[in-house]
Amino acid sequence: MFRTIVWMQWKSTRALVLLTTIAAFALPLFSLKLGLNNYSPVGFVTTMQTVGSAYSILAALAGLLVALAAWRADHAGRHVYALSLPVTRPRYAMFRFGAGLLFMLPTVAAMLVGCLMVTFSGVIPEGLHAFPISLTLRFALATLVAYSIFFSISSSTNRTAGIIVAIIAGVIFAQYLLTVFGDNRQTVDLFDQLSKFIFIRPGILSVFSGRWMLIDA
Amino acid sequence: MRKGWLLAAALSVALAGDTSAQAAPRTELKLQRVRLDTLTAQWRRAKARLDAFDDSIARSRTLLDTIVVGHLRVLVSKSMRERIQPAVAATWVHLDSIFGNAAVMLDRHQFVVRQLLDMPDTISIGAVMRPGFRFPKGREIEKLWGRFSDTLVLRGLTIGATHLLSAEMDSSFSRWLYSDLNPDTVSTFHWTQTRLELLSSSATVAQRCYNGDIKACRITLRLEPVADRATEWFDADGRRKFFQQTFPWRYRSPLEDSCREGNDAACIAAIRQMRLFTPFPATAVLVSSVTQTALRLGGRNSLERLIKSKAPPERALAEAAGVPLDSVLKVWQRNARDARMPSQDVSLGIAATSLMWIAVCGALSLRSSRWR
Repeated sequence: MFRTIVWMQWKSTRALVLLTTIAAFALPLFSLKLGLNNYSPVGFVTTMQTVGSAYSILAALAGLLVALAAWRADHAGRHVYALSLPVTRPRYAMFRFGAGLLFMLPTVAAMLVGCLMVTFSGVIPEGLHAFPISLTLRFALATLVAYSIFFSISSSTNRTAGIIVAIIAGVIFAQYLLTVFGDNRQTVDLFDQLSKFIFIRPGILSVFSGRWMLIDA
Repeated sequence: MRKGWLLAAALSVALAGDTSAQAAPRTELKLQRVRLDTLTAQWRRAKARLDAFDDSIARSRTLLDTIVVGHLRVLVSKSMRERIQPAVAATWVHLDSIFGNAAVMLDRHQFVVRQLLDMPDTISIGAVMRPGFRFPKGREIEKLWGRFSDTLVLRGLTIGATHLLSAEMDSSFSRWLYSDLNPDTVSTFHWTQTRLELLSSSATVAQRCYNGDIKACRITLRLEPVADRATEWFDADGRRKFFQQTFPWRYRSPLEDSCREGNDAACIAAIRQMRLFTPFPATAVLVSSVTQTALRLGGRNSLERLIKSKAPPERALAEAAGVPLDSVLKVWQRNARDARMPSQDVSLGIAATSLMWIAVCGALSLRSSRWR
């Protein structure tokens, strides 16, 4: 059954996977090209740092697209196909989740190939080092985290989505009240606290924050 | 009778004239009185403020208590003494480790940690130069303020102490160093910065230094005088690249254009003509890291020797390190070349956190009852 689900899911996902795979392959080469426009290693590293955020965005995008595609057919068909199968819902979701994980492989592999090509291009300025494996590993982890989050949200009920929206609205409203009625010097910045909670380890999106450097000093 | 009327009329005219003549000084008087009242009120307000200020100074003076740990003398608000004491003790251990025997010199000065009156949990940290040192009445310098924490106290006192010891150094060494002395060990990050600075310098002498030419390192670091920058800082290729890459936006003189086209004599002449835009290979990062290397090689007494030395930088560094300058430069060059930062892309922590969230989100999606 897993094979069948993989095949069906592949049909709805392959275009997106192809797109993200091409992007993952091209991104390291593109960053190298931009870096080579600089005359000095400092400029090269700065450019690499600037392009670094593109890796995290691509990882998030790849995870999002594959996760949404995993449930698209079910949402469109109102889960009739899934209900017709002789499996429990958790098992079915696990198959879907596993199939999506498999579809991440081409994108991650393309990233690895792109990074290795840059590493062995022989044009990296003297004194700088390439980190193709560690960058690819991080890209893989970030892609999987994004995929898991969006897969989980996509598989949830409207009520859960409502709760998430209500929490976000609650934080915004609480921050508004604190700003208006609180002592300016003592006011807690909820957004700041929340972003620290999310983006600083062990926050859920911490893998996306920090430096993404294919080539560094 | 007519005469009487005329007299009365003349008198009344005269009186009227006299009255209007008197009215002007009266108005002036009134204005002056108003002005005086205003000034008096302003003076009273200013005096009240001055009294309040004097009073607060007096109070803050009386409230300050002294903590002495090692050679570190810190004046603190009495109410904070208990909280600050451990941080001061930790700071002394830190300063003793990085300053070595030179830490003794700190007892000539003192530090102040004040609690800000209107912000109870906020402190300001200052270093006070002793009277007669640089300034006749002494001077409070290097203020750092923020929410109280042991780390802030350590940082503030370390910055202040470093500043004070830097001020004790010979002025020729200070000028060579550009910035405050940093006696701590060179971090890997600092080494990578040093490497980048060497490799990115437009002066080719810096790249020769990176490749192991110690004489080039001396020139790069301004530890050896240079007779002609055009020929000693650059080779022919470097000179041409310098004009092609560094100043492509500048006004193009015929000499520079000729240089860009490959005329080396024009390049030399153009660099010799330059005054303001000459690239300086010895950046603050480079001179700081070479000083730190000398201090590390010299051991515990190195900073003390450096501060007491009145020799020019090249000799002061050798005295501090206790070895010839070229040996210092060899170690420095090797470290700059070999030190390597580990990749920050992935770590065990990042991997573990990511896998945890993948598992959590996966488990949540299995639990959903969307179509049951």
